[in-house]
Amino acid sequence: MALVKGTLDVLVLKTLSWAPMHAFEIAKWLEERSGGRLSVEDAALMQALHRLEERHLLEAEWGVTENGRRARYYRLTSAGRAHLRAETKRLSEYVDALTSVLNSRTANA
Amino acid sequence: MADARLPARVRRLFRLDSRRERETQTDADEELTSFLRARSDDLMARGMTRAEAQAEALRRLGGAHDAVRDRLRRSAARRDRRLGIGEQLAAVAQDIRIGARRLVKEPVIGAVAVLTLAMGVGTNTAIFTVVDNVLFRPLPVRQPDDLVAIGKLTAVNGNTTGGARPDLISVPLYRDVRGRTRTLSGLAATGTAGRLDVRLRPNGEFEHPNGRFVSENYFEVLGVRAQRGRIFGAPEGGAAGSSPVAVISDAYWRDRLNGARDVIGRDIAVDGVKLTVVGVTQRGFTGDIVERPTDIWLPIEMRPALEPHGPPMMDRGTCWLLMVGRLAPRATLAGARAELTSLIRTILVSTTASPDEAARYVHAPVDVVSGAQGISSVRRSFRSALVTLQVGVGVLLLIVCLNLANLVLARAVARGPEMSLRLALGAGRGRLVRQLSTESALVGALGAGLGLAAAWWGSRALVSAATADSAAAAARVSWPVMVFTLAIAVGATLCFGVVPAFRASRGDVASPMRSLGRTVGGSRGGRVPVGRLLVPLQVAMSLVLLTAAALLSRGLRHVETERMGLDREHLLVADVDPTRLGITGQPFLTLGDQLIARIGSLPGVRAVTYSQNGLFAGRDGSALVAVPGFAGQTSADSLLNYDLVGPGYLQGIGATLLRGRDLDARDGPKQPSVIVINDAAARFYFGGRNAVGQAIYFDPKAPSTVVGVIADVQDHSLGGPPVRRAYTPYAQQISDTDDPGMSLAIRTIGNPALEVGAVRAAIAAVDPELPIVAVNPLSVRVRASIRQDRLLVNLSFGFGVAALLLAAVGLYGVMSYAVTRRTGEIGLRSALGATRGDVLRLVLGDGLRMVALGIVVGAPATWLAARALQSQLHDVPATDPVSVVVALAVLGACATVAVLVPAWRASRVAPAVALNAER
Repeated sequence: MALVKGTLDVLVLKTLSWAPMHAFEIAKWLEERSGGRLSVEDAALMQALHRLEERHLLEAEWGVTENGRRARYYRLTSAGRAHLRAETKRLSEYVDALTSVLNSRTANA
Repeated sequence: MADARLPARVRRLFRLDSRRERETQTDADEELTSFLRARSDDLMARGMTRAEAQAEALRRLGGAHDAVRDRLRRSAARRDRRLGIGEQLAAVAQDIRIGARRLVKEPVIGAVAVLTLAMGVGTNTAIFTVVDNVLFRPLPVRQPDDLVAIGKLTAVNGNTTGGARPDLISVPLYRDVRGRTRTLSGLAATGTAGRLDVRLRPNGEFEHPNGRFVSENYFEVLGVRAQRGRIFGAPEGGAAGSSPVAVISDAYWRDRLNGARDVIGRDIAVDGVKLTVVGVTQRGFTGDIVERPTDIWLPIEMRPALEPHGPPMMDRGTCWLLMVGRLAPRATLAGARAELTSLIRTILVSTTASPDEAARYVHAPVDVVSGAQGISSVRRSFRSALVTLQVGVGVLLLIVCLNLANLVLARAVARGPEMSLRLALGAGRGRLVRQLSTESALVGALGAGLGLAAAWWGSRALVSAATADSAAAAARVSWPVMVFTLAIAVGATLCFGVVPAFRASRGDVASPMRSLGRTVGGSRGGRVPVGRLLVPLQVAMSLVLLTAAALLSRGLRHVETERMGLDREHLLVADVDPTRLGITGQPFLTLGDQLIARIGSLPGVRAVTYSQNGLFAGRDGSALVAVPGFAGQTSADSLLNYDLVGPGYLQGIGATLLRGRDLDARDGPKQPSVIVINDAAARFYFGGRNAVGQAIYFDPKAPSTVVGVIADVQDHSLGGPPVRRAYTPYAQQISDTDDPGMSLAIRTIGNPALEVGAVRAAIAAVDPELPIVAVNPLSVRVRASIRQDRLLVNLSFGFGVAALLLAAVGLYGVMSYAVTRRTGEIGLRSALGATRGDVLRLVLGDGLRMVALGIVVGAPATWLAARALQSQLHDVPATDPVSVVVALAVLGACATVAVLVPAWRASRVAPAVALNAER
């Protein structure tokens, strides 16, 4: 299932709200949490990370992985946390509204 | 997770350099590689072969490897650029915050810095505003550069009769030139309207606006439009008295007519003649006379109607106009000058009957100059004073900058450890320079802002103080002034902020840290010598300003105490206006006799007399005369200033009779024509001969016999060489004088100011209707006449004192600093047996050596400045020893005090404390 436009950012933020991660960890986490249902192109994910960092929602530092490799670790900033909260609220309300509209149409049909 | 490099946050905190672009690219590539490796590791862990895993990893990427890599490079570059800009902005904001915090934390230093800079910027801007207004600003008309002014510009209000002149134009001469010139596309004329009595409403109050008579093409030649109604044009320029119309200025319309919309067509009474307002000029135009804005313009043809008793207008000997022309296409100022000179000479020669006069006109000089900035009688005399002031305030600004530079340096040294720490942590030198410069720029901006506000107020005060004409106080702060202020503010900030900042940042990392542990005498060198060079410079500049102030005030003193040739301290001048009541001829003389008798009987009055022009009244008369046995070089040599005077005039003003007798009641209308002349005229026309008994011809047919010679009297202005002058009995000329004026001169026994009330009452007792224009002690008028000189002296005095104080503060600061740094050395000396006196002498000598160096450096500059001032010193020599000694004494005393305080403090240092303090 491809992503609805504009939801990748909030998914990334949500992922990082658990812990700082590097790009592949984020990709892996998203695949596992969605049971493999969400498909994100890896290039798009990395670009999203750059974009979010540019907007001061994320901060990045180079670190070392468990396997002893260098990787760029991303962490949520306080601005990112606030953005995540607002976006989550907005999206849930949107989904609620969408769901109720779609359900009522089904009942009338 | 840690890395060798410092994290972004730390880098920002310590304001270190942000990353470079190449690093960004490497980062992006590395991130991609590490991602692909992690992905394939993961896939292999799930059982794929290495080749399969790598292929799958690339597939999941979502694009060709190289394309994705480029995309990521771009997005990373954009990210880092944005973050970089943000960081820089944040850094600037932080610098400003830090700077502001330092200013607030050290409020006295901050306030002193801002205020002294404001003073420097403010004075420079104020003076430049006046310079710009008086010297540079073009007239607000169409293409002002094409205008030429013809005639003697100092005679804007001149009015002479008796002979044609090349420098002041008669109406017939104007018409001839206008008809024949080829280098000018248009030629207009303007002349004084004297004092106008205007009633804007029937039976309203009289008011006296500044008026000019102008030719009908005046506005057209200047290129000035009417914002309401029309300008003068074809309807005017006809026969005498045929155009009862007036044009008024925008300012006059707004101020006196409240900007009434129905002003066009309104009738006003000017000198009792009904005129119709036909136009209001465009906003901002105040006439061609710079220092005296014109309120109302009248057609030249109306002069006979307004001044029925004035000199005949079509007479070639009635000279009162200046001309303003516009260059024809492709004509040049030089070409116009050549053409007009020969044209005017030719016309003058061909229209005179006298061969003597004709010979004089052949080589008569004709004044033709650029009219781009309008006509100003004071521009030339103001120029040197203004240039003097501008240079003076420029020097003052330099001193301010030197002081601030000293301050910045001292603080930079005090902050040495902080700077070293930053450098050690890897902060770029540029970064530190930027931070120090930001602090200076903050001071610069505050100072400049404050200075501009002060200048706006100051330039107005200055102009009104200089001219006493409130209307002239319209000095505007224009864009050249803004640019000027900005330039000096930026220049000053660079001077006192950036250069020291570079010096401070250059220090190597270790030395200031090490210096915390330094001891005896080791603190010399390094940065201190800069401060020690700045102080002598300040001393030198103060010497220049102080000497200039001393010279100028000596010059003024010289003028003020000059022998005026009359009883200055006991004269009261009362201007009355009998012509308003229509009193002329014999009744005028009778009125004069009555006034003399009545005022003369007052107990405090010694003598009373009167004259047409009066003393220091701004009016003067002159005529071309012929003297048998005298042949002048130019027509100016035949010009003799004269005044019509009442009986006993010379005794009445307290003049000194050198030869012959005073004019008295004997010299009536029926008697032979007589005059008294002054010494200057006697020497000029008669050389060594006795002038008494000689004849001077005002009228070719009727000689006047000289009956007396008096010592030169300064009748109208102080300073300058004496003017040739004659005094003629009013009684013998009254039948030819249609518009007689009367200015009473009352010589009192005590203080003349105390007699003002009694004199007014006495005048009213003679004729209650007689208008009294003004009654002032002569000394008051004399002081008003040298208002500009006094202003110049006061200003230069203020600048001198300010410079002195600044230099003293600078000296004090440097010496205090030096003493603090040498505490250890001083302690050691004391411990080794030096007395307090020794220490005092040591420090005092050190400070006074800097002062002496400053005086040596300043001496040649002072000499040059004094030479440049020579023209404004009124006969006081530029090398006046008194001024130099006074300046040196004041400077020396002030400097000694400034050095003495730190020196005394040094002498109180207890050896043990000093030595302990170093550990």
